[in-house]
Amino acid sequence: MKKHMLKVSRVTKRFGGLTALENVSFRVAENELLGVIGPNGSGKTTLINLINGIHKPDNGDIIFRDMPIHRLSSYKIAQKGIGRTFQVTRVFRRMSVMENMMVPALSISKSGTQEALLPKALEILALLKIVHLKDEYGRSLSGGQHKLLELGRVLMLDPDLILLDEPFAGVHPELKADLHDHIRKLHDRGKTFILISHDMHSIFSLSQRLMVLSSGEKIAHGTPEEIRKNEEVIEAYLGN
Amino acid sequence: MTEYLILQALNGLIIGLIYALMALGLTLIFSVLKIVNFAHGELYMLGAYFSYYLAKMFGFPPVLAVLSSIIIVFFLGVVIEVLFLRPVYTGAVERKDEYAILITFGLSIFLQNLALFVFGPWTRRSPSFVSGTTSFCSLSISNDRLVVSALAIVFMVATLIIIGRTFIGKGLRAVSQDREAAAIAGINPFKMNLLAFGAGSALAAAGGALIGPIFLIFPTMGAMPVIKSFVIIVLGGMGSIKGCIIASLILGEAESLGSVLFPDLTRGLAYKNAIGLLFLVVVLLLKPTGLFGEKHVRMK
Amino acid sequence: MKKCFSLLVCCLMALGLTLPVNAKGIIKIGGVGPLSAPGSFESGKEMKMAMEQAIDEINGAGGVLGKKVALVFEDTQGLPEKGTAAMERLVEKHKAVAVVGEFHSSVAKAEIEVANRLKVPLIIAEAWADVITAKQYKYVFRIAPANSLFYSKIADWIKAAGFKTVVMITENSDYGIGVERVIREQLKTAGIKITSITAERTIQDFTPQLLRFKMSKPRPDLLFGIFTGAGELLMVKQAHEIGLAPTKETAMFAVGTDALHKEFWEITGQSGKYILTKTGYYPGIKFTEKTEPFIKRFKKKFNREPTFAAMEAYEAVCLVADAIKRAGSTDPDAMVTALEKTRFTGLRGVIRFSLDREPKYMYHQWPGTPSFVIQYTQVDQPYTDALLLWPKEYSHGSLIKP
Repeated sequence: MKKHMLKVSRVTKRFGGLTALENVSFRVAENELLGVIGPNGSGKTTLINLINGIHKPDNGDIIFRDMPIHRLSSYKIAQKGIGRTFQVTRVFRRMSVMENMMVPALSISKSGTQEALLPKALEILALLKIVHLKDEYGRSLSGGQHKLLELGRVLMLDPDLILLDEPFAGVHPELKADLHDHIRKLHDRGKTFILISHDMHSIFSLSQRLMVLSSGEKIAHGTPEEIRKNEEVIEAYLGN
Repeated sequence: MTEYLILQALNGLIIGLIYALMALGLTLIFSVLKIVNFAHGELYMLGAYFSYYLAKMFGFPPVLAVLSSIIIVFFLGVVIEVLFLRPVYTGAVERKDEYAILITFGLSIFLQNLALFVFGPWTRRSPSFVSGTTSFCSLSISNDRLVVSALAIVFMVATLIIIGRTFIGKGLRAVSQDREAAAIAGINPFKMNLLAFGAGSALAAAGGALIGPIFLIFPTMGAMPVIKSFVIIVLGGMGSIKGCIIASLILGEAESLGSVLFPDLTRGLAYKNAIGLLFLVVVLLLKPTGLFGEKHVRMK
Repeated sequence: MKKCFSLLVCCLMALGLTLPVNAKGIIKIGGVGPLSAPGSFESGKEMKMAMEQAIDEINGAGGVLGKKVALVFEDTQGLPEKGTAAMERLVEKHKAVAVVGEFHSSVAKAEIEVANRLKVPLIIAEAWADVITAKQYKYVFRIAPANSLFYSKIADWIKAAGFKTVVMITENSDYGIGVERVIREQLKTAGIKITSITAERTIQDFTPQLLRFKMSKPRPDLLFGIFTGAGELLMVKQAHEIGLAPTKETAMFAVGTDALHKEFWEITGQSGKYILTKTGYYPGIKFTEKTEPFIKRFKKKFNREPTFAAMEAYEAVCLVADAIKRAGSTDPDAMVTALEKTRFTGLRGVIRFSLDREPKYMYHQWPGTPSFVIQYTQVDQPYTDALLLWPKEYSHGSLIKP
């Protein structure tokens, strides 16, 4: 039995009259790659926003490595080792790629200098194959490059848990294949992932386990094979 | 006439540099906190008074008095941020924009009257950095103006280096561009607010402390420069540092040259303040986001 | 029972609090003047101090008609609308029997309207625009000089001193424009060449225009600054910095009252030497027996030399007390009648109010307001030690060029 890294218990989140998540519980084990699927508006992004502290749950607990994090500010959660990307990328447009990579430096190096972190940034950029863009401004990159840069920025913090929100949306097929590679490689190196995607091919091939949300409730979980056969899941997708 | 215009352009440059210091502080605060600091002129005034009293009562050498005053106002800014502006970001108040306007506006009136009460109504002047004048050709310029412009450039370059090169600067810029994304990257936005407001206040104080020996120190001395700063940050494009510096220099020159090239010479000075505003109107008509503005920014 | 008792105590306390206000034992005199921006608060403050001194002295001598007098001062901020509101508050809320003070002509212009409407005597202490008395309102008096009255005497000096080319920089306020007109008209008739510039009151940098004057040919022989507040001091400083004035070629006259304050020297330093200015008071000339004691008491109390603005404010309060005494009541019409018959020995002569209707500004105006042209001959010199140039009968010497 693997140790659980993240425990989400009976989490509920409402926005005004709208219930975005209702009583959702699940666990993520160390070095697991969990996929989350569900129709639009099923609460996937809200779930990630709750885990990394952008929103606070109305009810329920989120425990990361035996520590409750659901009341913490997102910058503290980031410092505890949870990184994320956004569905619509949020790179710093008026900064160069390298500067984007250096933003997390303030929180990771207490006494560190630019020089000390530079090799690390270059290594990550090389891994993501965007090292040649290091002096370009954020605003001049393509959508796919934004996704890579955002992932790179997350890796600068060296998080143990990475939340990826629609990493494949709007990405050129070649880049998409690269992204698959990167995720696999990082997973092999021991990172834990929660992955949200509408791209069924990608998510079924990458995930070890899948969780299905519909209208804010968890309706199924299991291995990709089990989910593929689950009547309720098919219903939820076709029904919408 | 050429010499005259050159000297006038130089004067415009000096004024522009002081504007730039103040506007840079306002821009920093606006970009990071997304609020317009209406009390900026009073921080400028306090910077001037602190520097004056440090020099006069404690015998600090002028440059040291200026530096100490900047440091004092930095911490004053930090205190103001914690006491009055924090509620905007912790969700303690509902109408954030309105709250921020009212609180800084109220602070401005309070500080102005406090200064009137504490420092008295009489105008003061800080001791000269270097007394006397420097002549070249047939014209002369006071040494204070030369020293002040040199110091203004030093402060400005120091600010640009901090913002551009250091980790803290990257943190500030990240927060100014996207608060949430910066938080995700582990940046504590509260700390950045604190630093931005402190540094912005310190820049205003630098402007005031430097202007002390050239112009005068009185409780309402910040009223006009703060309006100029608003003009500058709108002219430069809200939140753009490059735009802010360029707009400051343009405004300084426009006022300086505009008032002497004004067709009716006897009315030139009377329209001096209008020239800057006229310039603003024209720029906004042609480019509604200002010279270097990317888009309209609003607090979320 | 306990409740009843505490209620009773509360009532008594409330009564006690309101009692002095309703008491018939106090005569309230209203004061108006600028104590905050955009007004010239430094002068307003000084006037208020002088008024308080007058009140203290009147009460020390037993008050008026057996009653104590009190000052209720309202800050008019240099804004006409504040002046209107202050007058109304003083008369209607505080029941002031008369109002004295004001420094800004634009504000005084608003205040005389209220005085006239509410029928309350108003003695303008230090606002100079002709129109204030030229309206010839029954309830309005003035001990400050009218611009025309005072500056025609200054213009006489300019003519007598032999200046040929005069440049003027004027603040665009009622006061500035008024003075500028008087001087310009007087000098024009004497064939003196004049260049006149107006500027915003908030202007801090005069160098562009000053440089232009310096380069003009012929160079002006007199720079005449019609500014008050910080602007005046900056003009003096900047004119000296660029080497325009005071120099061998060009003299400088700064008319604002700020040139008389001790802070003048902190700001201008070396630049203030040889500056010409005007004053409504000069020591050494024995005006009255009250002058010296007043100055001594003022200096002792406030640690500064009073300017004539302070003297006027002081005198205005005394004039009200004097009028009440002679009228035997605080009835406004009786007070006006008494004021019209005033022969009061003030700090700078015997004050009386003219009843002449021509020239217009002369009505209810003290015609005897003294005016002096003085020149600083040393740095840090109190204005009372400056060289007295004009009027001729008192003159100690002639214009000194650096």
